[in-house]
Amino acid sequence: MKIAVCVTQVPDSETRINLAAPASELDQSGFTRVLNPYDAFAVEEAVQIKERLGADCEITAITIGGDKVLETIKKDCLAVGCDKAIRVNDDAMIGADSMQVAKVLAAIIKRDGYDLVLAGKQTIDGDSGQVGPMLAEYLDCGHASVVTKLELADGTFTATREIEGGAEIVTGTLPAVITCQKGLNEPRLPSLPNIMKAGMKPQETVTCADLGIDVPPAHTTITTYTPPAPRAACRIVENEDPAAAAKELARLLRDEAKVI
Amino acid sequence: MSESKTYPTGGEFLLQETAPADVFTPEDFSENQRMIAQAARDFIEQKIAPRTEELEYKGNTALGEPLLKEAGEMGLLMVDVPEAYGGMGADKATVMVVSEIISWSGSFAVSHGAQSGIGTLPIVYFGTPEQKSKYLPRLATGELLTAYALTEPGSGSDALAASTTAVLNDTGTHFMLNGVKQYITNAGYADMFIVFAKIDGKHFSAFIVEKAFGGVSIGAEEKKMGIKGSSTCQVILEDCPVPVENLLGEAGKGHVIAFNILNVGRFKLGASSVGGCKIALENAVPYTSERHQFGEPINSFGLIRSKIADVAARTFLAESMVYRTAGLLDRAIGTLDKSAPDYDLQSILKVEEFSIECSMIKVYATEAMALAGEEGVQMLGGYGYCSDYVLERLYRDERINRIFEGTNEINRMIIPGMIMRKAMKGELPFLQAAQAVAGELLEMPSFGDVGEPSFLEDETKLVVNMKKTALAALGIAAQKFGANLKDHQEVLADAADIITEAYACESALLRTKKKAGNDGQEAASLMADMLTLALHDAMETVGIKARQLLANTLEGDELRAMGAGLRRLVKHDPVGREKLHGRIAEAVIAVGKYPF
Ligand SMILES: Cc1cc2nc3c(=O)[nH]c(=O)nc-3n(C[C@H](O)[C@H](O)[C@H](O)COP(=O)(O)OP(=O)(O)OC[C@H]3O[C@@H](n4cnc5c(N)ncnc54)[C@H](O)[C@@H]3O)c2cc1C
Repeated sequence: MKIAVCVTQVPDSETRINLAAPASELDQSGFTRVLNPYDAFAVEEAVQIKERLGADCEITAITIGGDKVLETIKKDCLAVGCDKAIRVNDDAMIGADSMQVAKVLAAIIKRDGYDLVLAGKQTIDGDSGQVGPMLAEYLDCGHASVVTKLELADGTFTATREIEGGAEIVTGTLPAVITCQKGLNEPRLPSLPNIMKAGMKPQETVTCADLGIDVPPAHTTITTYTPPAPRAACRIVENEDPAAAAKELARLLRDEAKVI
Repeated sequence: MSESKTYPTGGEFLLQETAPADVFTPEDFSENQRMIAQAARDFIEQKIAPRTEELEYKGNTALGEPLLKEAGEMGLLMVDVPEAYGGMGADKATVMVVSEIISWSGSFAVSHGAQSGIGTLPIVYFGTPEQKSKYLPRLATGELLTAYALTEPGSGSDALAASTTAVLNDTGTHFMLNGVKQYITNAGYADMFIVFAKIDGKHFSAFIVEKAFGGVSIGAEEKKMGIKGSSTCQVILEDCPVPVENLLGEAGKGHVIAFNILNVGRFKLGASSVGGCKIALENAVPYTSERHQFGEPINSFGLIRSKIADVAARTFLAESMVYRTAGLLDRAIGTLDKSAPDYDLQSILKVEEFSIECSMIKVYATEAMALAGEEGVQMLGGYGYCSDYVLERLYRDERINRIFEGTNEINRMIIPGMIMRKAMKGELPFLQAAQAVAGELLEMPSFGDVGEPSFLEDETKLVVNMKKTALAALGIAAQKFGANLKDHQEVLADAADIITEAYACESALLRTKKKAGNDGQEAASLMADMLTLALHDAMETVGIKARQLLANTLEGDELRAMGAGLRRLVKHDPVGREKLHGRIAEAVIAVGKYPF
């Protein structure tokens, strides 16, 4: 069984974004970058499948990004059990939108052929949640998103999806794309010796041209980042008479703040 | 063994100029070191942080056992165990990175240090191949938990005065150990102990003692001021039979083991105290942004900004000296033949050459953390006094760092003491250098050129003068008191502080220059500000200590003449601290934590 795990790097959730005024770009120089947390569930699921199947299973981590992504690939993918990694390093893909990402990932997956494609349900920076389903479209295969339980049986999968107020159980045939949600598993930590050895596993770096595709066109462009509106200063309703003050407060909440 | 490469030895920084390219800095961390640091952080976040309440506030010391096992699974206990025995055999810089990051785990850091450091390293460095293969693989994974039992109720700083005894039995198969060990970290659950005892009440020696040997009992947990999640108990030995093959190192040579292991403990504690400083900043600084008084965030007030900047600058110096020392150790160890059978022993002897640096970083970094805890609590006001906030705990936990691994008093005595010892042994041409500076002091002053100084030019001059002050001060004291110098502790402590400030300032200067050389002056400007701030403070301290030292050493005309010379050396034009504080605080507030 060949498993592809699509992963990406995102800013640490504790990153402080310094944005004083609306701007077309973010200053990302101080960002600490980590594996997208939902991708960790995908990696762990792949490793657990491999542990069940044994040697007959190979896991490839696939990513798009510059050299900064290498640390994440080694520490969080190769050191926890992925067998190899493929990275698309193409300047034209900097700031790519979901459709561009999905097309390029599809090109690799078509080239190599995989039985199962795992990915996070969404990134915590872009938050689109679209890459997995788009990828399935380009691969012309089934998909299940926001999965909290996955079972495989010869050529088929059964996935439990989290839906509003309950769960939905989906079955389908492989190959398929599964996007992973918290609860699917408990990602393991890489051990220090495995981190040291991770660099010895095969890693391939390609450009779109190497994959024999044109850089897909962008369909969306981020035009502006705006900082959240500053919190307005607190206003104190001053009135000697508590009843009158309460009345005034209620009026302000209804007419000005429009919250009641 | 051939030593082809040369490397600077311990204490040599005082006598020589170091090139910025030759110092190791946190900016030089390798990808592996960064990944290991991040993995250790993840471990703490996932495994330790959820247990904070139980560990730190309920004092559930027993939790140390399962947590050490989990750390073992992840490889966090094997960093400096040789590869041949199931470890990683990592370099000292990696060891220090791990020590620094583990400090975020609070009490667990002490359990981790006792296991992976003082409890395991005696076997790494002094064990026979049989002892190593028997114990190290299981210590590296945490299958066996260990402790280091040196201190006794009657002997702390004076560890060699231990009264625990070891007597060979009639058949010559076992040593029978009797005595009480005090304040032993991890004793509550350790499977084995490195015990120091005197053979026949005379020959101080080390033993590997398994609890299963019998005759070992563990006292109640101590009720401590801080690090409440770590286990600290007495270990009572009553006719404990230890097989003769468990004697560690040579009989009567236990002091070599004890001293060298503490030495390693010191640089690790230096690294973890740097972590402590950063924890204080990342907890205090965001609070000062959110807390409003008089209609403004409190970090708009000069007195809060000055605290933020002072702590950040002190942290920068401590961090610079810790990793510079790591680089020195790795370079020295790098000259050894790794395939030699006695490589491990030789490498600890290399570390021993740097006992001056190890003591300096222990004293400087633990006191930097003390300042960080002190000012951190103050920045939070009443909230800092309450245990809902991390700083209350950090303030208590920090206190032990200045007591164990050799009290800071003992370490202060070691710094000039070791310099003198190396000088006497001819390993360090200290006296010649000191005489040269003393001569300079008596010469007429030369008037320096005026004009706008170039980047770090003033700072470089001040560091040069600080080093000269250190040489002159200790040299004068050595000349005056000769063999009796050891009886003048106040003089020695003043000398230690001058030398330490010089090492700290020079380490930060070299790091800043290296950064500027690699990335340009602009990129190094925050470092330069921190250096300037801390350096001028240090020069004030050095001036006071040097004056005190002279007054305790010389009299009459000699005192006046030397005093005048020294005043010239420590002279520095005051800098506008308010501006420096403002700029540094601004940068720290922007990121809400230590900025490098
Ligand atoms: C929480 C905790 C954990 C510990 N863990 C361990 C452990 O795992 N293993 C272990 O073996 N020990 C351990 N210790 C013991 C620790 O190392 C000692 O407490 C320390 O060495 C100081 O010894 P002491 O307490 O006997 O103080 P003392 O030596 O009695 O010192 C008292 C004071 O006198 C000063 N003093 C002593 N001698 C001199 C001198 N010559 N010149 C100037 N001043 C001097 C000291 O600096 C100190 O201020 C631990 C202690 C604590 C509190």
